[in-house]
Amino acid sequence: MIGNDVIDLNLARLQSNWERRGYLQKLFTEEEQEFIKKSNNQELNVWFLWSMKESVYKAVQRQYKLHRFYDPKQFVCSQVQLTSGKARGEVSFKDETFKTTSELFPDKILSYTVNSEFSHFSEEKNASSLLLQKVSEHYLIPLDSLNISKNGQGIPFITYHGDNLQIPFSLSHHGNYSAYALSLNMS
Amino acid sequence: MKEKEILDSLKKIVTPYVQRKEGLENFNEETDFIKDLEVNSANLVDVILDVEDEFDIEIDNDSMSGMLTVGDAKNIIERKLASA
Repeated sequence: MIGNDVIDLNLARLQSNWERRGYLQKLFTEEEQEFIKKSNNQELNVWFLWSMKESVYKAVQRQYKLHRFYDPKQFVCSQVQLTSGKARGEVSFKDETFKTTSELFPDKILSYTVNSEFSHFSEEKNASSLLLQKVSEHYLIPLDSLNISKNGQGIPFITYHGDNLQIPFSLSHHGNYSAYALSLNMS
Repeated sequence: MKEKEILDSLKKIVTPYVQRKEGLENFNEETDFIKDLEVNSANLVDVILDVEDEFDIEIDNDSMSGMLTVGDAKNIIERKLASA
């Protein structure tokens, strides 16, 4: 399963005060906090690590059909490699490790698990329609017979005339931006 | 502390982070922070920190993990207050 997460940094700045006492301690392990403190751009790295954790949370929650939970420190970031604008890293959850890719911009961050075959970022809130367009083109299915539904756990799935197509994907939106990650090479 | 006092205080704490204000109209134990109130996941930490300050308790990671609804939060607060 795959997961992604987009963060609008301007909105994050309005919504969250990461410098608040106790805030980083609730979200990040000691090593992660150290990484943030030592970095040149602490704010960017707070949201960068957070988006890595969020994308892997989505991936495991879907893969194992887990009941939703909120335990950011169980998702441990490591092996972070930053090159201009792109970053790679790993997130461990229990005894599994997931590789992630992130794209860092001055005003937004996008992270996704590397098993995503396609990752698409949009400057509008239209990732879900772009996702259905992509599926429609790939499988030559009429767009109007495709829909996105949600199951009882709040996990979305793509349907064709109401039937679940079992396509692994993840959607994320925040502020002005949205993104999808998708894998089409299914059995 | 009475249940109603805890719920009133939780409502006050969560209100600044709520993105779906209609969700507050029927605020009860079933109310889900993310699904019904659309609290951003990065703001759930703020709710937790505010609850810690307001009730003078500490919410450990295990308790935090299951804090999805107002009722979950209320139960955690009651448990922590009882053991304080």
